Amino acid sequence: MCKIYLTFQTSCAIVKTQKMEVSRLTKKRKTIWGLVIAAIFVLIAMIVVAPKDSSVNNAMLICAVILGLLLVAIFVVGMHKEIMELSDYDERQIAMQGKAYKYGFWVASIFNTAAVLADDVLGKYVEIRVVLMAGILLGFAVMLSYAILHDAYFRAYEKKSWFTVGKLTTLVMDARVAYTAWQRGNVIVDGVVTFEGVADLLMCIFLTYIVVIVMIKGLMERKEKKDEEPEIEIRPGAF
Amino acid sequence: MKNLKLKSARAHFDMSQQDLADAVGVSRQTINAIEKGDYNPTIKLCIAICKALHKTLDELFWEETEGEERND
Repeated sequence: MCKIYLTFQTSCAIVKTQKMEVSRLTKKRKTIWGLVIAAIFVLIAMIVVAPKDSSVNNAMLICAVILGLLLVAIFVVGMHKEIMELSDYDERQIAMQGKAYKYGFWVASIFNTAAVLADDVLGKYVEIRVVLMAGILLGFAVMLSYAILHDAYFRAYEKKSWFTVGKLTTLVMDARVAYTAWQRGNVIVDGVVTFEGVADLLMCIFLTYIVVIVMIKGLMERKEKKDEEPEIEIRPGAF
Repeated sequence: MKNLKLKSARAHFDMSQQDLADAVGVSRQTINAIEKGDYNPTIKLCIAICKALHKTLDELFWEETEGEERND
């Protein structure tokens, strides 16, 4: 009797675990399929709404992309909880990423608004596109450095070597293009800094900054780990 | 404020920050931030830490001010 009861109990436990696994898998599948459907919507919107060989092609394409992004945004808001559950980041890292996005957004917005307002003065020396790109890169720099320094960007420290190699490769390529632009005299034309001339230079500065931040974070991590080691020796019940 | 109770409880089980982080499913840096008092964890994470260290919420996260006496 006892044996039957134990077998029954074990079977119940197995069924319960399996149900939980199935529920988690279903949730994961739902999320993946949702994202795929949203991506298909973006593509369909781009193909259907933006007809080829049309005079309004560009405007329609922009509208289609905005529509697609809106659909993705609606989906992400609806499935936010499920997406967060599947994320590898923990609660503190997600909070830090939120702050990083916020700071990056505000820095880029304020910088670019000021740039547009000051275009009459700045326009004599530098193309507005250069200033706007600098603003966007500044926003990205703020966002990434905040996330990296608060351990909320896995790629920067879990796959540090790949991350650094990738960034350095892009940096070298950008530096090459920037050097060619400098040699051709495209950087300053008629006393105005041109977008074609300095776009790659700006990217070089941005990438160098990110690589430096990753290196600084690496040094901080090393110091932190060294500091942690003696802490383990605290006697239990000391506090 | 530093959470020395958490550090002490972790030391009692001879666990590193990484071990505790793995046990509760967060990053080592998050445990470090909690111990340093740089981050206030959610109640969900507090409970997970308490379960991993076999302690109660009061034992790990209640800050006793000077002159305060516990009723239990």
